[in-house]
Amino acid sequence: MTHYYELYRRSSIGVALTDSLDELIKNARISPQLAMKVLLQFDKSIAESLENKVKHKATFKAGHLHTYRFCDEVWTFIIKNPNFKLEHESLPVDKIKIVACNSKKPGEAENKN
Amino acid sequence: MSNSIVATVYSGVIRDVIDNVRKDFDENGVDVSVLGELEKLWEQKIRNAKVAPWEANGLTGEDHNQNNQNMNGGSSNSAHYMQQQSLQQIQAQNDPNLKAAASLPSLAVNNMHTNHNNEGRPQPYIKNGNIQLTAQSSPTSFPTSSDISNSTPINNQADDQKIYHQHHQNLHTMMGQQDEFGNPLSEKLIPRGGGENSANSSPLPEFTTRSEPSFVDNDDINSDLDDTDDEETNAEGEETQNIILCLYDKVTRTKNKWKCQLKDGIMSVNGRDYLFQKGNGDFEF
Repeated sequence: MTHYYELYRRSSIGVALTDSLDELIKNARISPQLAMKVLLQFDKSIAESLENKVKHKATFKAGHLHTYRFCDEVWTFIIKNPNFKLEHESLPVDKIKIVACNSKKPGEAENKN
Repeated sequence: MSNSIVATVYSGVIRDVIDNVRKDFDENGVDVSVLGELEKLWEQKIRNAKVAPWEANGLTGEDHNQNNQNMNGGSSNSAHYMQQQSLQQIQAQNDPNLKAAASLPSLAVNNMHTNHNNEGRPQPYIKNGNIQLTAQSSPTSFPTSSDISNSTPINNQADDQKIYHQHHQNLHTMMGQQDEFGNPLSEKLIPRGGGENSANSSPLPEFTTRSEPSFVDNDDINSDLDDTDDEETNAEGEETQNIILCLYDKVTRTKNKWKCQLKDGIMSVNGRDYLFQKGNGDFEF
């Protein structure tokens, strides 16, 4: 199975799934192993959906980059007061954190930095 | 509204996942009804989070009750939103806990409550009233000692699923194991996934919980990263709910000017979710 990031598990839909799985495990309805399989499937499904179904474009301009960090191929930014637009619709945000994984899959990422 | 697509994409993901794990449920001899239950729980939770206008897509149907219950929280107020989430968690978790801890019912409940107040304390007895559990849940939920205890829960949890309670760090420790089953090790490179999940699932105050599981599910390299992250979160307090999870194509810098090309993002901004295929950022440091 191709590798997919677990990154999206912390999104609201990922959290909702993890919580649901936890409930089921707690009630001994499913095993943790099975829950892991579901999560792996989720990693795949969400990644593919984002890639294929979403067409929106977003821009962040003129924000103040408060913090940046690059570790283990993961970029983390904290942006203050970005002028943030999604499909020309402005979203007022005073602070946002960006966690970004390499779009090259981990296997291929080695040669790139 | 530009996040109207969110509900569509999310329900697509739910359907996709449910369809694709059916065979796994079969192989594990788990009844299909449980799969249905999972789907229902999942959908309910994501709806209750009110991160997207499900109504607009005609997907609401029977769930009006849940939605109404959450109206008071107000989706745009993120603090309320977080609180509500943990409240829901407590409610959701109480029932099964009571059942599971039949032998020590009052203890279990009491501990549930004290633990919310005393975030730094270990959480004994909560779930199963199982003594073995005490030894495990204490270190995993105790921030400062969690890194020491990394290996203990792994071994014990492997064969006894009862010991598994709702803490996500357990799920994520399982992940560590899964590595041997063909899951690339580099999955661990995504450091904070577990952290946020646990923060939301655990009824403990969010900033403390966020740090605990990070220590647990990431040893070595990543714990360093998480560490800084958490300090930051703690130092700056609120507002970290605004988060973008995405991939990057390219990040470049000239002097203090940064440019990044991002893609496949899920954003959570002011309690709402947005998705983007491509995102460009220009920042000054």
